[in-house]
Amino acid sequence: MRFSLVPRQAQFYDLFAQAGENALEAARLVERRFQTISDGTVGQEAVTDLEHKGDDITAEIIGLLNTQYVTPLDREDIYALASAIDTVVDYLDDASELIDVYHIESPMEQAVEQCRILVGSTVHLSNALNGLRGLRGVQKELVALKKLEDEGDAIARDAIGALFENEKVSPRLIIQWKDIFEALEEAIDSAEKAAHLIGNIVVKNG
Amino acid sequence: MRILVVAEDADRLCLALEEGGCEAVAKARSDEAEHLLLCERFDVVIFHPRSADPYFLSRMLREYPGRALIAWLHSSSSARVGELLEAGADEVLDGTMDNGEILARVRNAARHGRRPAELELELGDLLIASPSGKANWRGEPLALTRRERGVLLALAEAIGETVPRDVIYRKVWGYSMIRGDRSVDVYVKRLRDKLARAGVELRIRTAPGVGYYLALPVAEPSEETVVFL
Repeated sequence: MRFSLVPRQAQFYDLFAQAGENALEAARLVERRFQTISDGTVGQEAVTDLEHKGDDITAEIIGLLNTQYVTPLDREDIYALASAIDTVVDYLDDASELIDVYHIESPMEQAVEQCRILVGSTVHLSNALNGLRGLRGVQKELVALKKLEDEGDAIARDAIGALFENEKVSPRLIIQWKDIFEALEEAIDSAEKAAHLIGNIVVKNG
Repeated sequence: MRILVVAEDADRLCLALEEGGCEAVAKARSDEAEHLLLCERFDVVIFHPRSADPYFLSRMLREYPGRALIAWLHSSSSARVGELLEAGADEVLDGTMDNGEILARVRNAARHGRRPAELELELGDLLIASPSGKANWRGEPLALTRRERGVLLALAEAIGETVPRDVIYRKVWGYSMIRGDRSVDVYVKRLRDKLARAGVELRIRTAPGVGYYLALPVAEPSEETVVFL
């Protein structure tokens, strides 16, 4: 592997922006998939394609990191942020895949709400990643994302609570939906983790 | 034959049933038994009136049709036996009977026990068989799935009245509905589409925030002059 002495700093920012947009696109697609479970309008293949695209972007960031002598941000920050964004899309893909695995036929209101939170979170994440180059307007996006994550926590708690409100509920449904609610919650948490890392980058480099 | 026994001290009874080739599952409490009934199929339910809550028998009659219901008493009086039979029990066993008599009575009750009555609901040109839910519109059978038939039947049995979502779910899926579950809405939408495609004139209306009801078509106003005297 060769180190390049010609800095290609702009490329890092472009790749982070692409990763953010890909996460947002995945969240929107998964939201539509959950809204239209009964019609099967959105298939899992489209979500998996975005997950693979996310993997490629992450691999490109890490590849660039390994070949650049000078990087615009700390190496460990670049690596951690790229991984965190990738994890958001991975959990979105997991939750979406469970629809097929468990043969889910009808949506659950709480899951659709979690998807709404995910779309909002990834909008703010994408905006923050777009603002990373000049570190402008990033903080307000991070604050908004944190607020959504708190809302997401409350929805997830309520969703899991609803599964256990009545003892005569199908045990099959409890297992299925608990896994899905948890995967969506992990995706929301991963978006917040990415936001924390961006916050640290802003403090270090601002 | 699968038999659910709801009694605290059911060892002797279960042994007698198992020796006779039946599969017996014992539960000491009626709520445990009812939970099991949601998950598993039993042909006969034998209950000790003291182990079950006072409304157990009426709830079984209402919510679990098609299973023979047998009361089991340690000792009986003709007044108590009469009371239980009048309340809807198919048979009454007591501790003085030997294993052979117990088995013969259980088998007899299972053979002649309650079976859901075959009914046909007639809603204008729409005929719906109960409990299967098979429906015909002007003599043509409607191609509905098992759950669509169940939803239609649940609404047809209460024609004109709002049936809450959780009641429809309980009747069709056999479990309590989880808050937020949209299964009933999904099946109502499918049913509406199929009824509309088949030209069925009945409409499924939404009672916002509660459930659905089946509305008979409103007669077209007559063009004849109405004279008020």
